[in-house]
Amino acid sequence: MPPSSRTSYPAPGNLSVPTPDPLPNSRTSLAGLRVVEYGDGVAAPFAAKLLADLGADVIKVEPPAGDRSRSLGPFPGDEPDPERSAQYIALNTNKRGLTLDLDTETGRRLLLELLRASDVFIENAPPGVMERRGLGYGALSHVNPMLLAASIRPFGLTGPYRDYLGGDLTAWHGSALGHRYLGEPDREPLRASGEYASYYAGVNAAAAVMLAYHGRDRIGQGQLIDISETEVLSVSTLGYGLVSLFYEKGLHNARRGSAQRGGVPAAMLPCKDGYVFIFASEAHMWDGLVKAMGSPEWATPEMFRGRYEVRAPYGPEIYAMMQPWLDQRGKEEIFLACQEHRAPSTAVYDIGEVFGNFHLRARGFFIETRQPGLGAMELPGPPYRMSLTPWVLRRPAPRLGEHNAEVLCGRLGVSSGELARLRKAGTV
Amino acid sequence: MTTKNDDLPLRNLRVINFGWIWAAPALAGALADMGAEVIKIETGRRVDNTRLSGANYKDVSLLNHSSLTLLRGQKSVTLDLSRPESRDIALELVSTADIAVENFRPGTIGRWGLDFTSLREVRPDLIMISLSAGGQTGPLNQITTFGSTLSCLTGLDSMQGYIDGPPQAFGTALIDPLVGYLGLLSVLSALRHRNRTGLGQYIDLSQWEATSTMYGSQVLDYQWNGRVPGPMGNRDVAMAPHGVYPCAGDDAWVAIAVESDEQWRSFRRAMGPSQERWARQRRFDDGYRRLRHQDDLDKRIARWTRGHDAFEIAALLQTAGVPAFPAQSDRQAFLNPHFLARDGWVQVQHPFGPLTVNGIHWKLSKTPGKLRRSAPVLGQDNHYVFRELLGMSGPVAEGLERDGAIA
Repeated sequence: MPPSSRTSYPAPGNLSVPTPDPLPNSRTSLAGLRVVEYGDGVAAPFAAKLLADLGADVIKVEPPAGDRSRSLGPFPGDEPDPERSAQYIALNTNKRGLTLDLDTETGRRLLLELLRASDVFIENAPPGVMERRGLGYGALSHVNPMLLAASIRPFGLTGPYRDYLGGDLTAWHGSALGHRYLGEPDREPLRASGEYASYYAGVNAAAAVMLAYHGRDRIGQGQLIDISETEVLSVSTLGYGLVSLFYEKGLHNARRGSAQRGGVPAAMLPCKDGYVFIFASEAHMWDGLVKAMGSPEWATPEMFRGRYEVRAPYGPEIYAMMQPWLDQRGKEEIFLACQEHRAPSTAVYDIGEVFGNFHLRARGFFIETRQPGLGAMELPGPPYRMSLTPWVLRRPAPRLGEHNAEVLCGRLGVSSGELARLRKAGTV
Repeated sequence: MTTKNDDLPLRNLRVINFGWIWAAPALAGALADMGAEVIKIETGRRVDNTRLSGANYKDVSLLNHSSLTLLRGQKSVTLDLSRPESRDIALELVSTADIAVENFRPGTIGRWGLDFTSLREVRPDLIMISLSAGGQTGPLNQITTFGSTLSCLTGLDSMQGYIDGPPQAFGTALIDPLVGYLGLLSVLSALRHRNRTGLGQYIDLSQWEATSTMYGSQVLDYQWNGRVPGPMGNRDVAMAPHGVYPCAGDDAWVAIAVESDEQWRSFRRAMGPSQERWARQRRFDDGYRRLRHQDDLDKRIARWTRGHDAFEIAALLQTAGVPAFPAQSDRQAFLNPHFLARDGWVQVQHPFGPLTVNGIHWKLSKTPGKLRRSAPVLGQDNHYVFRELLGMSGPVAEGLERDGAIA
């Protein structure tokens, strides 16, 4: 795969980059935190993975048929195989795997045994399922009052829509982010790429678990963490600012394509080999953009100078005048030329270009790992670099039930005879 | 708003927020909701964009609709950090703090003498996080971006849009809160480590990398199969129907995702006898066939949904066990009884009158947090911070104001 080509790039500034402290007791920040995940698909598995990557000891409990991600792929050569699913591998490294049939009495008892000696439980079962199994928060806190139990649901555990089913598509569109922000005005609202709503719910669940963890430190009790996929997205992203505008001034709005409201330029535009996002909100950013374009005569009038609101009335003209410059240049050239002059424009990279990107490569973002039976592969690395307690990729994603004996016998004291019986009965 | 318990888990923490725009305030604001004292250092010389963009609330300058929610719970002091006198004041403030947050271009905070190495000298167990576009190191560490331009670099935009159409950009900085809450997670985990060992640390968050962690599946597909995904509309690789369909009314839509053959049979029944003839065709029988005939399938479903109300379709399908929900407009979301019942939008008191803002979006049963304070106007807490907290004398503070350090 060819790395992203480059000709020149802005010189690194004079930086004082902190070096990691070489302290003897350096380790992970969540070492010793015992997490059990009963996750399916994206949201709960991603939340648990974020904790696992920070050093938590995560046991992933799957039904005997496995997490749905195992059947979704994509697979190498498009050959379906539950141990070779990209989505499953990407979301489940650093965990140990256990299978339990929670529709059996024994399965439920073993899960409660496991939770008795755990700090965190994260699950995203469909509405009502855990309650019907007698595994609602009441039962969990009964066996372990210190447990931090996170339930991720399409609409949360309370409210009129608490029993509604849903997934990424309904959460995204229920949040109103598509209707307001993504798509053309005369066509249907669009979904963000890459199951954004589900990943976002996972991030928020993991952060909320850690807030509850510090709460436990303070009050000496565990608690329930109720996450609604639809609501976290709507309240935290759409709600910022706009809700007050709506309630105080009655203002609301809908999507309008790839150009932003607010000002000019702020739009995704075509160029020679793809697309760029041209943006200049502040006065110096516009000046920089004009310089990057070689100070063409059309761009220099005084009436265009200043914040991007002042240029808003001239949007169609400015975008049209800019287009020939864009048409003659590639996205990376435009991106780097703009950045060199402090204009915050960027290239629209595809996944292959991200994977080969020279900046991410220089920072060592992609981490090589080996998955049994699949050999070496690279996965996205740390979302953050912590100087003292590094993010670490310690183990591959577990095969279905890989750690059954280790967890059931080692941690719960199940005898090997009993384990054999459980296997035969299909409980594990 | 109702809280079952007033215990604020982070009440003993002080946070100095050098950051601006959205990502850093999202992080700092979440800490404030949980009890931390967050002091935002800002300047009237280059006002936080969050205070400038869009319509000002009740025409009170430097306090617009975004800052009202983004900066809620935080205190504001004005310091022009490019002035040398300001550095000592900032250092003194940091010496009393637990956490520092900034999201400037790498090197900026260092030029002011306020990088981690300097801050750690006055506060050895400090936790500091920088949320920059590309991270502190690497050839592109100097890039400047906003949420909407940064997401282009991560691959996100390349995969969204109408099928066979160009990539579609998002109309606001979608990823700012995403990276803000990832940053929050790292800070909270660093705090656990500090509480156990007494050691602080520095966190370098690259917003580009933080967002790209969501694409592990696509990155593996690229390595294994050379596949580069493009815009997929509202479709899914495995499920059909999976789309957004027109409903009765202006710009009204419903999102429907049929996850299995069993759900398809329920969907078919729920549409009623008028639709049964086409829906029972063999070519729609299983998931593979429905994927292959998706264009036709979507057209026929749209013909059915068009005459109905989006909320009624959703209720009908949900009763049948099929995931569906309206693609709500912002107005519908702001008035949605479910969001209101869960304190999604809440009324708070503001010096200028009652005000509706976003609530706390994660629901913790015993330490839920609290919206304790409305957003400050620029420099609202100068007196408290400079005079009371740092014990500055009146003449000294006035002198600094005259000289333009407190500005």
